[in-house]
Amino acid sequence: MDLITKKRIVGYKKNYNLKKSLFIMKCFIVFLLMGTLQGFANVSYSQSMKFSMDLKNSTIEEVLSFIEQKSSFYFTYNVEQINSSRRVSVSVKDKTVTEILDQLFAKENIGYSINDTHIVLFKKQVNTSQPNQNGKRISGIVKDNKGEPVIGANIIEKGTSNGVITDLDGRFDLNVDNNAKLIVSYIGYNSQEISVAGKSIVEIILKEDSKALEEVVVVGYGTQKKVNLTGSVASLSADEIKDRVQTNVLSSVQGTVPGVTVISRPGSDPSINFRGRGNLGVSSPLYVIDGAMADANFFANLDPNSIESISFLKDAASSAIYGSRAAYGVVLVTTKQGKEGQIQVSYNGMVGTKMPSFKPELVTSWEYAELFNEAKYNSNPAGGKNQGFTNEEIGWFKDGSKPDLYPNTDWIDLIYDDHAITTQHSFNFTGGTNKLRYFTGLGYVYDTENLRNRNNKRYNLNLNISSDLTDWLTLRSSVKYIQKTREINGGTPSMNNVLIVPCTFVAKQSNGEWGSVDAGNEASGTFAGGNPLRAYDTNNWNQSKRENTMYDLAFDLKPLKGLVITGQGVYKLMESKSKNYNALVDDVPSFLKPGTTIKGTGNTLNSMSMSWESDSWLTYTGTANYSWTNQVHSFSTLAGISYEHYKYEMLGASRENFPADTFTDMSAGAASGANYKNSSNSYEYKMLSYFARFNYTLLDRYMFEANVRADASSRFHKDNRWGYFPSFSAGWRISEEGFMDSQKDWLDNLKIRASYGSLGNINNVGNYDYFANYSSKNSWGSELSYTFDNVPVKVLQESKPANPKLGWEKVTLTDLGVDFDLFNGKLRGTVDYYIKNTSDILLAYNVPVETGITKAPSQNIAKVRNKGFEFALTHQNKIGEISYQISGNISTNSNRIIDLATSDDIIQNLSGHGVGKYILRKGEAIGSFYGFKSDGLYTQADIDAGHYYTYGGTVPNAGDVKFVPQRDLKYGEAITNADRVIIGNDVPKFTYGLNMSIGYKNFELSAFGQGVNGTDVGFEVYQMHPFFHGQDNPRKFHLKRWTEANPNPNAIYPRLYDASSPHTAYNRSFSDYHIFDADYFRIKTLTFGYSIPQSSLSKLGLSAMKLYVTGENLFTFRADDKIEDFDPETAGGVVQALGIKSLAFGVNISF
Amino acid sequence: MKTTFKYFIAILLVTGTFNACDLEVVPPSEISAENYWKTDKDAWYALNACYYNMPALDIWDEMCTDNAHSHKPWEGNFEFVQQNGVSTAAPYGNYTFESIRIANNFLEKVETCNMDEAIKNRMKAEARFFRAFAYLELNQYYGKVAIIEDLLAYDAPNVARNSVEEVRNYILKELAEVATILPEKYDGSYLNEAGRVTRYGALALRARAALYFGNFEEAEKSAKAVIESKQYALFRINSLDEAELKEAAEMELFIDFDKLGINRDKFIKGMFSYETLWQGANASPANPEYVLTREYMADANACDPYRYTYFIPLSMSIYHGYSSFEPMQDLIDAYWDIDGKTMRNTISVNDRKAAYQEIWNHAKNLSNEDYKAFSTSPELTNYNYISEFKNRDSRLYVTFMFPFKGWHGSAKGEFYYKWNPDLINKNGNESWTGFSYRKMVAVDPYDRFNNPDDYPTIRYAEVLLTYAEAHLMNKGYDEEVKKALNDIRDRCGMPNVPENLSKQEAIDFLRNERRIELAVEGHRYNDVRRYGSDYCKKYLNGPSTAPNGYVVINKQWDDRMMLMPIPTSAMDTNPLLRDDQNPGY
Repeated sequence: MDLITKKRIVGYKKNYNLKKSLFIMKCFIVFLLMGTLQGFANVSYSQSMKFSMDLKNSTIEEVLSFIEQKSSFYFTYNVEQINSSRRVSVSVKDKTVTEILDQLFAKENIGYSINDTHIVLFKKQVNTSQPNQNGKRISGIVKDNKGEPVIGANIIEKGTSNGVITDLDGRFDLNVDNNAKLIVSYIGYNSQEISVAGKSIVEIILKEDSKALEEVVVVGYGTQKKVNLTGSVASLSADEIKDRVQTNVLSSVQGTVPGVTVISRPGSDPSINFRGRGNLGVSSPLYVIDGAMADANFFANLDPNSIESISFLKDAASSAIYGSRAAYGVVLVTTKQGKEGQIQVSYNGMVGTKMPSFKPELVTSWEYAELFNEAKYNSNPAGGKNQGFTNEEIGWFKDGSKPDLYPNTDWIDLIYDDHAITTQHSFNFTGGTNKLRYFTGLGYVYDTENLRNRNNKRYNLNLNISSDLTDWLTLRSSVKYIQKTREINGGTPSMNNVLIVPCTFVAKQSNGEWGSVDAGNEASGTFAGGNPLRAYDTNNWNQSKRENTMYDLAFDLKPLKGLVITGQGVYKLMESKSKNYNALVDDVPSFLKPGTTIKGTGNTLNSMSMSWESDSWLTYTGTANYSWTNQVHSFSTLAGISYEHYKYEMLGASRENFPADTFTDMSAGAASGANYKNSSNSYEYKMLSYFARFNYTLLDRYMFEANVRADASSRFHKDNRWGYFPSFSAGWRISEEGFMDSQKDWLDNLKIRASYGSLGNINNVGNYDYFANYSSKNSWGSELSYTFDNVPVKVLQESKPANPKLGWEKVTLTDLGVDFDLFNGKLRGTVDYYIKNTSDILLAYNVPVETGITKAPSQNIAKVRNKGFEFALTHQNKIGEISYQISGNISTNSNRIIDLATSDDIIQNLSGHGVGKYILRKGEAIGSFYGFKSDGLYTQADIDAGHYYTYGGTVPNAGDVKFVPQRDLKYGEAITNADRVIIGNDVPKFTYGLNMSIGYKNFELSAFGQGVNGTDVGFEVYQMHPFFHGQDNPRKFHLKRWTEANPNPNAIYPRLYDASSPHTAYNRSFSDYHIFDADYFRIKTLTFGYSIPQSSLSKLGLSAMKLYVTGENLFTFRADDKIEDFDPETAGGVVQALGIKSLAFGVNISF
Repeated sequence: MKTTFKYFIAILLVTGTFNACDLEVVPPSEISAENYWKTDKDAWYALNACYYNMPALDIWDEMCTDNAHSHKPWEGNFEFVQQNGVSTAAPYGNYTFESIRIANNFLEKVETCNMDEAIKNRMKAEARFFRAFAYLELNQYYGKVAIIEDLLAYDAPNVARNSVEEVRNYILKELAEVATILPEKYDGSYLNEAGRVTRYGALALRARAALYFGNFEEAEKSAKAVIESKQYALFRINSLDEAELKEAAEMELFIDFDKLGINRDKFIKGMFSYETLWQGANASPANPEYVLTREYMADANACDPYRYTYFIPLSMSIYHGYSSFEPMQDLIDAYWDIDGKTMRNTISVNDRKAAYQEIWNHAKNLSNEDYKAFSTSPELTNYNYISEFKNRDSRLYVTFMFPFKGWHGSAKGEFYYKWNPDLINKNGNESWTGFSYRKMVAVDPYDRFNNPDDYPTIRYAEVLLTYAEAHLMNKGYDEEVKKALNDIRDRCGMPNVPENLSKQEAIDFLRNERRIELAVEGHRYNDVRRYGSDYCKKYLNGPSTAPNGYVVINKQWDDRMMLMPIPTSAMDTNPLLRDDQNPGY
């Protein structure tokens, strides 16, 4: 026998370095107890030395090395006989070497002999274990409810010591008695007993022990077992938000949690809203990141890959501990923390492309000319049919024969690039010893936009370190750093100009000069200067950088068993710098009059401006948490105190008149005079809070919790500075009751819970609202100055009257909920019903004009009630090799204004244009549009018969909007403001999300859709009306207007008039003609992924690798069939940015 | 030891964290009321706010009449006013009480200032002057309006409108009272700056108000007091500068001085006296014609943003021109013949169209040099179109830019006005009426956009016209009336007014003279309404055309336009207004 012996020379433990650098071992302690079946009676080092290990997917050789490293053992074996590269996973705690070896070689027919620390492995003689006379051989497989094989499960023949453990594939073979019963058990799962009578092959599905299902959820100032929650808390894990093209965490959570509405308006940061709009101003939640208060911006820019979980505290019971800031919910984010063990590295990368979801469709130049003529003719029929353009001109537009004079300019096509690039990379490193654990997350995002010459970059660093200084003191420190930069090289075409500069204007002349001709004539400076395409070509630049850093130092002190005292100090610092340069630009040369230029289209004064902004947020928090538990009772109590100081400062400067456009520093600009400007701003607030929580659980089934917080804020006069916010909640786990035992086979968990509490809101109170102030600036921030004899004199003017009575907005929230888990976890669900009453709502509403007050102070005046259902259901199952999960959530919200104090109605402008209106009216919902109700358009027959009403002194024509009077009016009488009604609402009646994923072998497909129902959008001014300023571009939908040739009384747009016609004012009066259906269902993400099989990965030294393709917003189903070219998530008013859809390829790798 | 350490940390935590729990803050960039209203300086700052809010140029009102037009709907709803198209949702006017609150705030709070009582008393009179001024404006737009003399709280009960009578009496009473308190003039020192409202400023405003109200007795009384004070005179120049001399030479094309026996020197100096009273160093409280002055200067926060780029077309700008305000043919037609008493027979729209077509066909393709040569050559006068601009009132030539007319003293220097009719509906920064303003246009603009020149909110010429009209209504067309009007005529280089006119002839004559002298200053809007329904029906109806026949606006008059609608936004915040809207809305 050619015995090749491989002898290992063993060093002493801890000094041993693994030779293999390609693989990175992952080991940590798990609480695992494994029944031993085969054991040696042994008394020696081999029995006293115990091992704990958790090696996943390692080779036999690695396992043996690990044992050698941790002990004095050394192995000798014949590499021919022993397949040392076989991959196994070993997860044990406090096991002897023999127990480990038994498990390692259970199926391998490998024997061993131990001589003190020397272990020799050898191949055993073939042992043909024959079934005995009354016995048989049974084969089986043990799986969990997800269909994954359970490795190392114990199979014992009942009543004997005969047993075996499952192998790496979850399989086992055992010789048993013909009528034997097998007991199958595994830690974390309920034991199962099965009869093998008449069977030779069995498949056993182990059901997770519900006690193991005790998922922990992050709650305010602590964590709680999910089953013990009495409040309404929804949580998301890291898996649920990664693999999305969104660089913004807020967008990533859109639609995933019922009752949490994320609105991603094109062009603006997404906003988040819990359970409907409670108030009439800002109703955004509080963001808490690793225990530290932060803002929406910080949250939105976290690297999704470094997030461990996100909890949404929806009811008063769970959020009252955050008191005055929690009225609109709390978002708790936990980032990944270090884990003891070898360094573990993962990489996530993605590259993709983004394109506009919907682009405005503008008319062609000949359509423009025809519509323009029509508008002019309708306004002044005596002027004839060709007041704007001759038929000959229209012909030139159409045939394109004179592109320098009569073009057809498609701004959308010229301005927007169809494909922008987005790429993201992130690395996570985690590891540590049992005394020191660390996590490092690095992220990088690079983004271009569908507008040219610009790029955005984001760098993320998240460093979390925790160290156990002693067994009673743990120090935690973390630094989170986010840097966002944005660079624009060139100017930015204005979205407004895309609509304002007509398509009859030449973008670029054939001689290469910028356009100077509009429909055959020299264009106005407004158009030639506003040429959106030309904006790209300037030497303007803009650079901005925002750095957001959160320094977090905390300690946990455990002086007594059950008592934890935690102190945390957080300093969040935001610094933002931006620099903007407007370069010299030549006037546009005149194409028609060579040698001359169009005045005012250039820039003769270059300028640079710079701003520096900083906000700092210092928070100290101290808590003491004591918990005590025995078999029957379990209680914990928490008391805490926190102090906050927020400060904002801004410094801005601008200089003009640089000698050349090459400077990048301001110092080269004008040193005095009008071209030398500086500005500044600052504000601060402070807050002191006390809070406490008491938690009691009886027999794991009756739960009770109470919270209270007291807040004092510098924003209030000291006489009414304190606010108190208590909450109570209770839960009952019916499924744990004795009488439910019979239902155990299908009912895993059933809990009902109820909560009531009160919260506050401070978001709508200005920092200095209780002061009556005098200012030297007007409400737009420009300096007020008069002059006596050419000497400027300061002007001080009341900026805002005081409201010393100013107080908190108060929210009381009642929540009833049911949580259930059915059919072995195949069906899980949560139902909640809530009533949220907001009172003393702060509203800086328009006070009567007669007071002369232009900037009204906030007052605690209104009451609003929100009611709604939230329902989430998840079904998961496995059929054959296909596993799938379907989950859906739906939330309804109805919203009523209960009281508006002394005001009947508060009517607000949609924007400064005074066109569209919102109304706040007692008994009605927030977000109601207020205007005239229409009944289509007047027909000629209506007019001829005198069946019309006048409005604003205008007698309507056929094709004008038929406003419906709300009073008893006779024909010919005037419609007035008294005829306005509520004509729509922009707050969804319900929102829903649908999540589906299917896995087959290594493939997975997931789709996530989100929709809203019962919402309207109101458009106004040049977004809605053609020729708004006189010559603005109409859109394609205007082609479907009313005309004399096509007198459709329900045409999408009334008869056209030019801007000066009183009929224009008549038709533009805010009515339901300007309101559109904004309901939609959108496939937010669609992802197809493939996980590389383990066998291929080992060659690469990787532990996991997944490739995927993902798309965002690829498909949209919309209710609006009128305009069709706006993104339904758009805000209304005037659209300033386009929505985005994207497609990306990504990879996730763990080493 | 270990336990001690633990407690040490715990104590450190609690004390260290919460020793700084001071929750007091103060506004960093504004002054809170508790720290204000202590000294005369505080009073001064606050009263400056009244001056800052002083009404000045009222060109917007002008565009609601037959004088002018704006083809830019975003500048305001003027076209709707001209076409009887305003509504509560598309209103016109300025329904604001901001200035009134600023005055009321001053009047209430100044009491706590520790300062000279006499000065405090005078400053209160100044604040009351501005409050009355604000009420006059409100009354002109809306008739009935709530009289508010207290500093209302934001949650004060809604207030109803007072009657027109009450508002008018209130304005006259207040102005009469403050006139007794305010000094005749100021010494220029701190708190006594020269540009402040004087007794005569108050009386001049009172004369204006009384005239508007049809109270000719009070109007005459107040105007007379101003005139008899001998503090004021019409502005006159004694010499011409280079640019004016150049233009004077070119005026030979337009005025047949010798043929008509016109005193060249008087006419030319009259023209430029009238033009330059608004310009440069002449624009100051020191100008004898300035009765009430809104002061401006070359400073980013203290200049007038309107009297430059808004007035001029882009084609004449050094940087920008918006042509937002454009005078109309109707106003041009109102200017006297050079005899100062006859009106030109208006030619038909088609004849003018043909005449303009003829001259434009010749001129449109000329180079800049050739255009200038043409505009300054006698050949110009061969064209029929130019005959409309021959031998007219001296003020016409300096109030407007009309086609081919040169202006040598403009901000750009020499400029020959060119009007391209093809740009109507195409180029919004050019005039669509055929004319642009010249009167009040900055000749030394600040920061390329703004006018740094002071503005005479009330000038002596208006006082003379008010006096003349009030006296005419009270006593008839007599020497007093003629004396006042001839002062105005003499200054602008025009002949005396007619010796004998019947009362009605005199009224018609005076109305037109007033329209010419005060053109562009915003009075026309108030004047036509007080002249009554018949006058409005005559002047504010029918098409206004450009020289090429283009209908600039088809004016529609309805008597509801006598008052503007209270806007929806105001009714929405004060329900008491809903049942008290002006008639017709």
